[in-house]
Amino acid sequence: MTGQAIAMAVAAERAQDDPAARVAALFEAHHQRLYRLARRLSGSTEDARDLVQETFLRAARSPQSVPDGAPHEEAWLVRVLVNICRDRWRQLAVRRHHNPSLGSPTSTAHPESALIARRLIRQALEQLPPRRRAVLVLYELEGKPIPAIARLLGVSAVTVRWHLSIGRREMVKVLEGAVTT
Amino acid sequence: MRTIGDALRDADPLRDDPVLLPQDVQAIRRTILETARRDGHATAFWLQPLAVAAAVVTMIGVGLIAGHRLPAVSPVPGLHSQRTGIDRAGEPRQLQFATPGGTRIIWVLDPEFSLKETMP
Repeated sequence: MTGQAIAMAVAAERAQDDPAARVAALFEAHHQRLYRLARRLSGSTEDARDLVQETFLRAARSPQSVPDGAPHEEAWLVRVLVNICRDRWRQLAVRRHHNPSLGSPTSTAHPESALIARRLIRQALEQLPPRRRAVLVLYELEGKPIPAIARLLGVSAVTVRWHLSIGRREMVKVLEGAVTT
Repeated sequence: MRTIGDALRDADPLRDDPVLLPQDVQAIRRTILETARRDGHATAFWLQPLAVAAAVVTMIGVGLIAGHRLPAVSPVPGLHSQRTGIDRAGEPRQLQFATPGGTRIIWVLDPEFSLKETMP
């Protein structure tokens, strides 16, 4: 075993014993990747930052529940992030139910049509349930293959294909509705 | 023909905000490390049910041992009964007891009493 490998093994062992070191290592390894996903799933940079922080806070509160190994860690963090997204989406849905004005789109009166189009697409994406949104983002924007998405989200490949198909259809419907109104 | 994928790529918010800003990274790192130092040493999730089970078994054991060692007590706490009278056959027997409120009750038991005779 080389000196570097021994040093890495010792560092990993120390991280296992010390929760703060483990969480720090998790954060260093995954925060930018998680931010990219969070930003694509949420409507603003602030929301994305909150999502990332909340995800790592859950890891910090129970570091023993985070599995070992980078791919498992990533999958755990992505699933937690999508679940937080779902919780917020449900809360927002309840608030919208009681106060329909919350559901109205934000300002679209920007003079540039390209910006309007981009905003419409983002709003259409935001209307999808979070897991479906995550599938679309991972497939269309991150270019991940379906089996990898299935592993990441802890669902079957069939479920991923189903979310992809329904998600595309729902986006088309929302975009067509937005164009005709 | 434009696909949903093309539309999503055009509207990708990472074009505007590609990375988490360094000050945000520092703030998040500080918050999660504080939380990890404070809450991260919480007991393992499987230890809690184990501790509850151990406590229940201990309580049952202590109860059983105490039950065997303590003398038998009156079935009704605070009720002190006293049997008086004469045990000789044919003579009335009394059962006296005091309620917790202090009332003394005396039952006189008739040995000649027959339930059948009271029935119509």
